[in-house]
Amino acid sequence: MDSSKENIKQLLDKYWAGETSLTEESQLSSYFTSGKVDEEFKAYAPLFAFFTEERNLSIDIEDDILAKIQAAKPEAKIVSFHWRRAVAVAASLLLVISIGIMTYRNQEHKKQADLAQLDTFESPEQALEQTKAALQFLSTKMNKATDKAAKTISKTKSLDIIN
Amino acid sequence: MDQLDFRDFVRTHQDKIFRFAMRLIQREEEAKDIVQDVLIKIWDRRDEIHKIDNLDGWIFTVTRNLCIDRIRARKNYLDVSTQVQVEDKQDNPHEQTSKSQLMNLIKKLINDMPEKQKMVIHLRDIEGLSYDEIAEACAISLAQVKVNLHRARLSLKEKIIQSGLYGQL
Repeated sequence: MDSSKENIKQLLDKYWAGETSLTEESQLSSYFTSGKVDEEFKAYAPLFAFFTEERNLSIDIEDDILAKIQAAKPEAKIVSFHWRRAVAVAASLLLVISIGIMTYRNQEHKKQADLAQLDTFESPEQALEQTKAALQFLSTKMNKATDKAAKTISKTKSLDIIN
Repeated sequence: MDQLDFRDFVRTHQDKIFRFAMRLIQREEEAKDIVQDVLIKIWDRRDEIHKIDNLDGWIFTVTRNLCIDRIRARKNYLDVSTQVQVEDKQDNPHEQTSKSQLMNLIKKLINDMPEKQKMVIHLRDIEGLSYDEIAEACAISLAQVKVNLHRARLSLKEKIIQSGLYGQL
């Protein structure tokens, strides 16, 4: 490294202007912490000494943080386990209930379909025929009943005559 | 990332997170809490950490955000005591050389800088980050990085000369 007064002055000017590269900055740092600083630049030595000192500031929390994540781990596992179980139980219940409902509805539907089949006809003519037949049957029965009643009445009348 | 990898990760990153947090919140215990919070965030996201392009930049961003949250939270009622604490650290008059006095002055000057200048000079002159990395960490443009670094260094130069302390070295 060129630690001539001229070079350091140039580097410093670039440094204040915010134009130095990282390499140039580390050159300045080495120069100012070397202990052989030109009188002209001595004022700035504490600045670079401060940066060097700050770089050495350290902590050690490895064990604390590892303990923390280990403590958090089982808890996380239990939580996820419960969730899975709950979801599995809910899914099974849903399945059983769905199958139940579907079977019930299927049977109901079948019953209704059977019932509907009983007095449902495929064409109006068929329905008319059936209706006519039914009315005929009713009418025959009624005629029979009327005849019987008429006979009974005439029998009663003849008895009256005898008396 | 398993626990062994994570231990290595903690070892290589804890110091710079701590230093940055200290710069921003200036309280050791709180800075340590922040380091833990940042590292636990990384552990929680260990499966997606490889997707982050500039991990150091991301870590400093997370650190900065956590520090800002803390500062906001305490701002209303702790402003005065923060001031007192900083002053206390300055006042240790016995056996102080003018060099360490000047170093203390520099520390105070940097800590009292506007936030952007403080972050930029810290990340550049202490952590040795590139301008791009600083821009990402501080969520500012490259031009802003340069302007803030220039202002920060220039104000340090002026204050060092004004202090007159260097004459006693």
